[in-house]
Amino acid sequence: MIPPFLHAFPRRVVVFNPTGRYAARQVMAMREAGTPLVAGIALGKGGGTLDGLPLLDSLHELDAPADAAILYTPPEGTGAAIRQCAAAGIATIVAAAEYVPLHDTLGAAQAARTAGSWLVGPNTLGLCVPGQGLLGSVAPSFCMPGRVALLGRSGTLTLTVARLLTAAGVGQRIALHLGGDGVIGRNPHEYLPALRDDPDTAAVLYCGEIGGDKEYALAEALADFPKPLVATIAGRHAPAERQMGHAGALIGHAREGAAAKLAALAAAGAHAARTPYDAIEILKGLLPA
Amino acid sequence: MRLTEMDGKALLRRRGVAVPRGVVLPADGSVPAEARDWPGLMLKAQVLEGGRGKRGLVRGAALEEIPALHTAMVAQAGTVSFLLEEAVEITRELYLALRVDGTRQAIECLFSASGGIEVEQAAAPLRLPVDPDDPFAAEALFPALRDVLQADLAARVARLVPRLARLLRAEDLELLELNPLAVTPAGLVACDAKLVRDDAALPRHDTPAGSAALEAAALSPLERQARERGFALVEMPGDVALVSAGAGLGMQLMDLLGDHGLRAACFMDNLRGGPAETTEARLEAAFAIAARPEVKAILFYTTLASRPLRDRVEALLAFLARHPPPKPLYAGFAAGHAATRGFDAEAARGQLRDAGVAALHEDPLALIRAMAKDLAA
Repeated sequence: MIPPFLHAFPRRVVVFNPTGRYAARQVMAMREAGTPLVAGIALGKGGGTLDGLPLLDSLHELDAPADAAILYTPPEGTGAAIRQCAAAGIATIVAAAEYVPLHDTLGAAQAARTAGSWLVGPNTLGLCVPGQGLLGSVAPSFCMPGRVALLGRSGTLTLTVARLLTAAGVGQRIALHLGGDGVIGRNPHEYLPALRDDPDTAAVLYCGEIGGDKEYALAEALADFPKPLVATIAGRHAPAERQMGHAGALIGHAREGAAAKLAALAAAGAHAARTPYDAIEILKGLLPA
Repeated sequence: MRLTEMDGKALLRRRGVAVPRGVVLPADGSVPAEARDWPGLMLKAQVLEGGRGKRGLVRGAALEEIPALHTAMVAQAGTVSFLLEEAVEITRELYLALRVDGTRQAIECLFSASGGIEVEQAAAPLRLPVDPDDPFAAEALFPALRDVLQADLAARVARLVPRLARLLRAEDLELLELNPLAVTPAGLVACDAKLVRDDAALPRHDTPAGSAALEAAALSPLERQARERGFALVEMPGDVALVSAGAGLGMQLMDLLGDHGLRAACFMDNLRGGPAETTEARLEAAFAIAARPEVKAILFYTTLASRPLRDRVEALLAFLARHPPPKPLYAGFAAGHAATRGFDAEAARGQLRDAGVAALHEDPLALIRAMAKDLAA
């Protein structure tokens, strides 16, 4: 399966719990970016509107199927919302909430996978396909169309790097925040087959961080990825055994540290960069002007 | 949250997992009546750090030796709780742990036929996925366990693991480690237990007071204060008080500081259940750290996609009006179109300069270069 939003940007997008202060701002930003929002799902607010966006009590009330859902559901309800979307056959699900209980995510991610849905997050700012649309809150003004697929484990760092790429004149095929938790819908390596086959992707910039072992699976997958992948890992100066924010960002063992991860990626053929700035210089050298 | 051994074992006992009989040792070190007939005694200091055995904080002793041993352990570990346990007859020690493997998206069992020692020092354990809902989960585990254990013992372990996987899920645990899991004449007994509960699920469960107190005690006063005010703070030895938002960007700023010969003295991130706006509380913590003689500067940097930049800048300006920075303040903002709607960023820059900000840059590297140059001068 490939990420459906790479094949074609969604045409019917629903937003769960769109009326909160944070969510309402994202809804406004997505509408400005041209995202085709068709309804908000907000139990108890059915029949109303949010700045013209019709609100429904339930996903069942949609008059035609949605092909993407953005969830601003609070953490306790996120697992159930993901399962609803998976059961409804929604191809792309973006779950924004931070602090979703680990076992809720595990079960919901498995359900989404089984249903053939592509889950981004939880704990994600979503994705922007520059020139096409926005699912979540990766600021389109930080991005520009191009051929580099940016995959980041951290939201603020994904935003920062998108902005730096754009400032350097390196456009993006997609800027995607994978999610910062230990369990996320799809792991970094699962994006590679689609990016390999995508004619509009020339290179990948992966911005990882300390903690967990997702970079080792990414390194293994590089054997079957002929395009350049530039990797950087945040947290080179982080102390061991201290939780650095994200549920996933903790160096428990040496292999979870930045140096070991970068070495493994380099050994597998990635271009290892110390900082995003170095990564951008490498990309500029790799990509024809 | 890491549970103390005592709290973890109470949870296991409630869930029907065999653990040694145990009792809290009173503060005066006297052995409770119920423990006087036990065939042997183990005294265990309830601290969260590993390596208790090596530090002499887990020891077997005769009944009459317990008060003196307690006194010796208090001298080393402080006035923590002490668990007095029955010493069980162990014929073999195994290692068994369950955790969530995020990359494989499965509960994973780690097993080693050699337990009782730090698992990092032993051969790599078996890694076996476990589906807690599979009625044939034990049968699925058995062949791999049979390769390293006799059939009857392999079967007992294979039957235990799915039960523990269901317990892991029901109790919202990130990790359940039994080391050693003892083979005894009475069956498999969890002689030591390390349980870590998912912080995101803490509201679903009663918080054991002893574990919570130990976790709080491991924090510095400023770190505790930060939690109470709704954000996470990690203090570190360093020379730059760092105010950031977002874990990845915060770590990136730490890295850039490190590359310029500077070290972040703190790291900040959001906290579950915290208020939407904690800028003032973060600045207070950073200024307190910056007042220390070894800290040379303050770095404030934020990237905003859609949260209003106006709120962040006004919070900074209001704070600076009341609290002159104890060390030079370097500030940076990168804001998307939605974040700057209706906001005059250029005017804000002027106001920040007037308020005493030493340097302003949108680019974090340029900002840190300016700081490093100033501090080297």
